[in-house]
Amino acid sequence: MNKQPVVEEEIHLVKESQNGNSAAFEKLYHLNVKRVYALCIRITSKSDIAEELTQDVFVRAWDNIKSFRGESLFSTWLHRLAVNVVLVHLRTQKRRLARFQSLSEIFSLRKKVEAPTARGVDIEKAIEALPNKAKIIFLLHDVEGYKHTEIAEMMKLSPGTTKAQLHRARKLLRKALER
Amino acid sequence: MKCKEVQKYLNEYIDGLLTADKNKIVAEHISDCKKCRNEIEELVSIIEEAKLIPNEITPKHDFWDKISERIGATKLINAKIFSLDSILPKGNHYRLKFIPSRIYSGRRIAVAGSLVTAVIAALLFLFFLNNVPGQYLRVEKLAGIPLVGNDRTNTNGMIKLGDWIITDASSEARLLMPSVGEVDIFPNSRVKLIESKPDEYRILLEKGSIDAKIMAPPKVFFVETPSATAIDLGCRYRLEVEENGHSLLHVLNGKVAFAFSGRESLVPAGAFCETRVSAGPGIPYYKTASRNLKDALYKIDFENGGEDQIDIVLCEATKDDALSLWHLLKRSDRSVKPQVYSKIDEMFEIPPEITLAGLINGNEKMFDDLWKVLGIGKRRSLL
Repeated sequence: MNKQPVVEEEIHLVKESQNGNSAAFEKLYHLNVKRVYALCIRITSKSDIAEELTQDVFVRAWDNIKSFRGESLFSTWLHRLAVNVVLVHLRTQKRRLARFQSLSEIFSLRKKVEAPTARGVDIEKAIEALPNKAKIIFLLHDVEGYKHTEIAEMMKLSPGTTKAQLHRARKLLRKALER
Repeated sequence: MKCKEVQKYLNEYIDGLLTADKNKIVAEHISDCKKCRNEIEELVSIIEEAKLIPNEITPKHDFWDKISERIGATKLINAKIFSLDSILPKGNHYRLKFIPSRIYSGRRIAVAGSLVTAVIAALLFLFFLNNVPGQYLRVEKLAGIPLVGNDRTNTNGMIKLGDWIITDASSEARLLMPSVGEVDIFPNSRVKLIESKPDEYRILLEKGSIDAKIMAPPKVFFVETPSATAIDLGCRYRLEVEENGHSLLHVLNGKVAFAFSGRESLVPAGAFCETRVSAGPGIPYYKTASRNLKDALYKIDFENGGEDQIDIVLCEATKDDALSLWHLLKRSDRSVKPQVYSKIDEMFEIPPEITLAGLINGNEKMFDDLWKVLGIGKRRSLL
């Protein structure tokens, strides 16, 4: 399929959005929301958080759309923005959890915990069960196609660390899937 | 190269990130080694499978309306900024960056003078607002872009009575109350300012979490939640309200009264107190309390737990649970009070002037004296 008309439409919609046309931005939203949401839900594993983060991504995109200079596709720029929003959320959440660990412990004790099921483990479930850092790096590298240098920059890690974490993630997945 | 060493490089080999030399060594090894070859095949199959994971997922809800509402606020802010442009005469020569080279024009000096006056007036106005309690309160951004009043703020903002501070999943804010203290508002929270007088500050925490650091005298700062009101008695505490209105208080320093519809819990440093909508605050406890004791208290407070649960509390309680026993004595039925009194007396030897009869009749002074005898609140602050 020829992608050129899609790209041209995207360029047109971006220009309109940069001029404050929210109807054009709504079209960009509909073209991209599924991809942004997929990223958010896979990294956070929680649909309510993913929904809020998806909204945050588009609000942030609207705020910063004038800084988009067209050096890449808008969808690429937006995806990168989404990764940053999710990573900031995880960092904030980590700080907050540290502060509220005892509170969360108590609330979680009040809720019934579902026992993990051993059957029907597919790759998506196995990814979800990975340690957080390894999961994010696996998703960004093997699912989303980012390079180690890009991931390292976004996550404020060294490329060596991202390589080691990717190695760990793949090893754990292999074990989980019992190949 | 041995298998163990080769395996360190397998991922980089698959990803094509090895130098030519190392690539050759690994390639030679795996051509002879079935074990490493199998491992590569397994890893490659995982990578291939990961590539097939759909990179789009349709969310359950359409968020456009919410996004549209939120970006509407930006449009208003932008409109305000653009309106400055619209009142200036057209043409580049009036733009601020050209003023220094053309400053000799009398008309331009007048324009510049007006602008400077306006800026000074605005700064004085902000300074005034910032320092007069009871009018506007300052809000600092701690992370992300919280909604403060009608504006999402990248820096700081002001709120007045009735205004909301709303943080999303990645933002945090701090509400400053002159001479009273400050409240950190964590992500995914909704806070409304409902009173702002020098002798009374009151906020509504509809959902989310806050950390309040209060230096004002007791009973100046209040936090309303859907299930209770936290009355500051000079302290620092954290309060979390769930979506359903239930909440949890953790006092770090000083003491907080948690009240709802005539039911009150006194929560000293180190203690926790849960609330439930329409039931109000439960009996506070320390984290060191046994799980059975906490569960029994929960059933007594919120699930109409009867004598069997009281028996569990009396059986499990230690000297460290005096806070919970004091509350249980205060709010339990007359028929149960003697058992609770005996348990406390067994551990602390209640002085004769604090009588069972007086406590059964709700003598406040005796309860205050008993609080002191039990040494409640003399635990070390958590700060």
